Amino acid sequence: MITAPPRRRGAAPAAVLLGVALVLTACGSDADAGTRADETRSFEADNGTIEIPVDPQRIVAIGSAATYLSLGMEPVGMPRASGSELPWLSAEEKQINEAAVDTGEEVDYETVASLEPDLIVVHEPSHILPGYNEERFQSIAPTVYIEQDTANWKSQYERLADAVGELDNFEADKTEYETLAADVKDEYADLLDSTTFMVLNRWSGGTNPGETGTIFLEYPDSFCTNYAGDAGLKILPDSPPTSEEEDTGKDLSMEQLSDTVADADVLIYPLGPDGSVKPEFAPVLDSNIWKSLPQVPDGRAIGVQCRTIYTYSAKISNLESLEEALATLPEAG
Amino acid sequence: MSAGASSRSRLAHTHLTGAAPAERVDFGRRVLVLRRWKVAVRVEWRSVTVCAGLALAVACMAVLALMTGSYQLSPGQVVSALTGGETGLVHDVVVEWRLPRVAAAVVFGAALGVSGAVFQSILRNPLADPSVIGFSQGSYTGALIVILVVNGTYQQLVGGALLGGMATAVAVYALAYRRGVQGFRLIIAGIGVSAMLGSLNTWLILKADLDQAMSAAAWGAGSLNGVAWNQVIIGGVCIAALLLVAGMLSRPMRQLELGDEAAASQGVRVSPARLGLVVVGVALTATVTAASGPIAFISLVAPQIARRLARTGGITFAPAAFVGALLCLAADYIAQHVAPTPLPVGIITVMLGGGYLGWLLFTEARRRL
Amino acid sequence: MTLTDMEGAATLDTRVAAPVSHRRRRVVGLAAALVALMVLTVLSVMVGSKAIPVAVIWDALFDPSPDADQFAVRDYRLPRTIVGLAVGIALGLSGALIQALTRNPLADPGILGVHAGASFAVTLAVGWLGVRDIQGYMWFAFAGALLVTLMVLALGATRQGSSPVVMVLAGVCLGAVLGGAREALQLTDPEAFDAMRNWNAGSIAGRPLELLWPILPFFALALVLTFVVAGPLNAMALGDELAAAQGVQLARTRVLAIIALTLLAGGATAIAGPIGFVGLMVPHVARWIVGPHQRWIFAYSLLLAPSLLLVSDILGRVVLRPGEIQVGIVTAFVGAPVLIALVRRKKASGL
Repeated sequence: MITAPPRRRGAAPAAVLLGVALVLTACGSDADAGTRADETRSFEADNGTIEIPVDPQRIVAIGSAATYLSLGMEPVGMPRASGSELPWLSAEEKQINEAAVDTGEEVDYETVASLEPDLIVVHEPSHILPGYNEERFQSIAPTVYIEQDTANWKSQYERLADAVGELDNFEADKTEYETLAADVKDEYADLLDSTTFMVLNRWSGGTNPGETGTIFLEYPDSFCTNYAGDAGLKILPDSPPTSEEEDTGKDLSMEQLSDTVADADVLIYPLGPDGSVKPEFAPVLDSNIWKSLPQVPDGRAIGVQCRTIYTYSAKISNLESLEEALATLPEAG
Repeated sequence: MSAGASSRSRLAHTHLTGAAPAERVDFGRRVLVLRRWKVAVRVEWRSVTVCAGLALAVACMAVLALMTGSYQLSPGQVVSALTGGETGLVHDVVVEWRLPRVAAAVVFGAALGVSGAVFQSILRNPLADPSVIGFSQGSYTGALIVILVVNGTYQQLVGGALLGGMATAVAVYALAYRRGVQGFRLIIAGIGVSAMLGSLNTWLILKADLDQAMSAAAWGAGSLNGVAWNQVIIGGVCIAALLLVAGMLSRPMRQLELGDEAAASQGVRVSPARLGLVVVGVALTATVTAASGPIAFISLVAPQIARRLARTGGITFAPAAFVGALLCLAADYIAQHVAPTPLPVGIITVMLGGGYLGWLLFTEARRRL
Repeated sequence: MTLTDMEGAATLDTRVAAPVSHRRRRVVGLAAALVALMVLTVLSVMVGSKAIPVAVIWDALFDPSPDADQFAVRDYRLPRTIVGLAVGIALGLSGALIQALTRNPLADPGILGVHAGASFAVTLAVGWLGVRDIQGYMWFAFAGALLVTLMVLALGATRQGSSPVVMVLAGVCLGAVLGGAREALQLTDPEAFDAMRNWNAGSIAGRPLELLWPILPFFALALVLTFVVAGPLNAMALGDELAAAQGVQLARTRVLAIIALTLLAGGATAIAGPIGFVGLMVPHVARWIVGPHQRWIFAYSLLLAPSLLLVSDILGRVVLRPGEIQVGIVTAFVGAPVLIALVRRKKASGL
């Protein structure tokens, strides 16, 4: 399966870069030394051990803006959030998003340099592309690379928070998330014990928006199931094919839907930021095949919000939505 | 060329250059030789002026590109950085960031222009460029597989792209080979293989996560962002060598344009010459692709613009190279500084080149009205 | 150096003589193609990512009841078969038209900017106007295709009438400009990029029949036009001067042919997204079978193109079962080897 292959390679290049990075960091901090007499510390990043400021003041954040914003940080520059991420942002996050200088879809090094950052954080897989020149980043300011994927997001998110000095916000979100997950687990203990769930999704990329061609069945620990697992939901199929460890799920055609979901007690379909069904999934709900599924007329098909970025705040709002949806199940009352 | 046209061109030549000594030298020769020589001179003179003008434009554009950037620098600072009078970030911005990017645009643009000229000449089709024999799609497939399946490093990506492109070009050539390669068969085989790989690419992109698909698409657009000296120097050396070979093959190429029989009768070894040209054309594009991703459309449009500017009948290398360089440089300037957000240069080359060629066609059509 | 350099001389002998045996062979071939198409149509309803018993399929069509498998047949397999037939016919004919018009083996409807226009319009609709369903952006695709082709037509217009060479170049240019603009939009708007990567593959799955009905009148009009211009195009294959001497109105024929091919290609793209290979390959194959006779080429394209599309679609459903591959992706893999084999087998003059 090609979807979401493992992203953590490059240990060897990282080791090579380590030496370069150390030398360059020294150069970088030399240039800055006059302006601030701040302390630095060693930070373990994907690109090696980097000397970064203990309390960075001017951070340029390259990668998913929404992830940075979720930490409550205020980057001086970043590729601004746009399009599909905007409706998910809080008013405050939108303000910070607007206030940051846009470093562009293609990283504009001169813009980054003119912002005089004391720390650059890069967290996206595309840094292997020609546009990403680590040497150049390091010559502007200490630069740390931190990548995330479905499997390692919790630990990598923590490292990200650590690097940008927002561990307090991170801990608060993490605690809130864990409490909420435990609450759900507790409150619906009986129901969760006796019920199996199947999580369906559709991506506009994998399927046409208006078309009901294929549906995505999410395996446990995938985009919209990782938080559900923490809340104690039994997600089917419970033993997905293990040959591809990183598999996030599989495509189903509409024809196969009725057979595939037959074993599940409850079906979960995705909701968007405004609480209504995700536009990509709406045609499925309208289809005759969906309506003919036994779970649907019984009220055992529930919509749960699915925000896929790897942050605790996203997972918290997903959990809240799940809690509401579980309450509507016939068994809950 | 008819006698009338030839004598007119001879008139134009003497009128414009007033080159009396040349006339005198030639009087002792046979008429045929004289006329042929005359035509050659006329063509070259026009080409030389056009090339000089284009070189000047490239130089101006390069200076402008060096002066512009979101890191504010005065012209004085830029000049002093170029002459070694600056250190630190100012030096880095001018000498390590802007300069290699400008150099890359010029060198890569020229390479693409020549590569397109080669293909348009051997296939005798103005719509031809290296993508005709599947190179672009093949290299994109290679890059996609590295990004999506192997999740490799940038070096692996370059390797994958080159391997994919070369393998595809070889496959197309082999599929079209049947007692020699004929232009039409090459085009059709290229279309077929490209269509398959294009579909495979679409499918690979469909199967990827959005992040990776976006990365792949960004590479596929072709970008000079983050280009550094080592890429420019390695690429430049390869390109210089290839241009030399192309220059050596330009005479057989011109003769091949007249048809295989005509070329053979003038002593051209048709098959080796054509194979050599194809290899040079593909290698030029491959070098650029390795350094910057596939920068589209320059190879298609530069020879056409050059032909119209230099008013030559066939395809010539030098004007195509200069047009390619200018196009690439201007496109990169627009991509960085004019577009609302910095974009990959390939997107602008497509629009700029397409627009200019369209405008040329439009004005030509008007003139005919 | 012109676009027509590659075109082999029209084979006059077959045209003049047209022996009876040739004609019979063509008719028999046409009948075989028709049978093949009918078999494929039935197969397209029978085969899917799930094995549904023949009895259920029969009931679904003639004795309907609200059962999931019956819905699968009625709501998915049947419409996509019908859409496939219509889109295939449109693509084949538009390809035959443009190859006759430009006398260029590189020509396919995409070259006149049809795909680029449609794609750009859909990107605008998705990215800027937030259109999210296929009913909504079908009309954008159609309008984009029509507008761009009209612009190409205008660019290609000269006093002597329109020049196919200039037109093709203009199409490539406009296509490139729009393609670049589209890419720029997509790269700066991940959401639009995401939505578009599927549309760009080209598919006939999940298109309800309601999508097809409003396009059908355009197809019908184009069909009539196609057969009106078939004769004149035949004459023009010998060269413009000869055709003019035979009393063919060059400009009118070209305009009518372009209107027809734009309606066909634009309509097909509006419904299915850009499906590239059918319009390019099928007319070639038809020409190799019947020689340079436009009416025969059109008739063969009419049957061979939907066959290619249906075969590809059926393959797309079974190859990667349970997943499906979009038909636009499969057509290339089905069509290209055939094309390459043919070009290797036949002697140089493909046209």
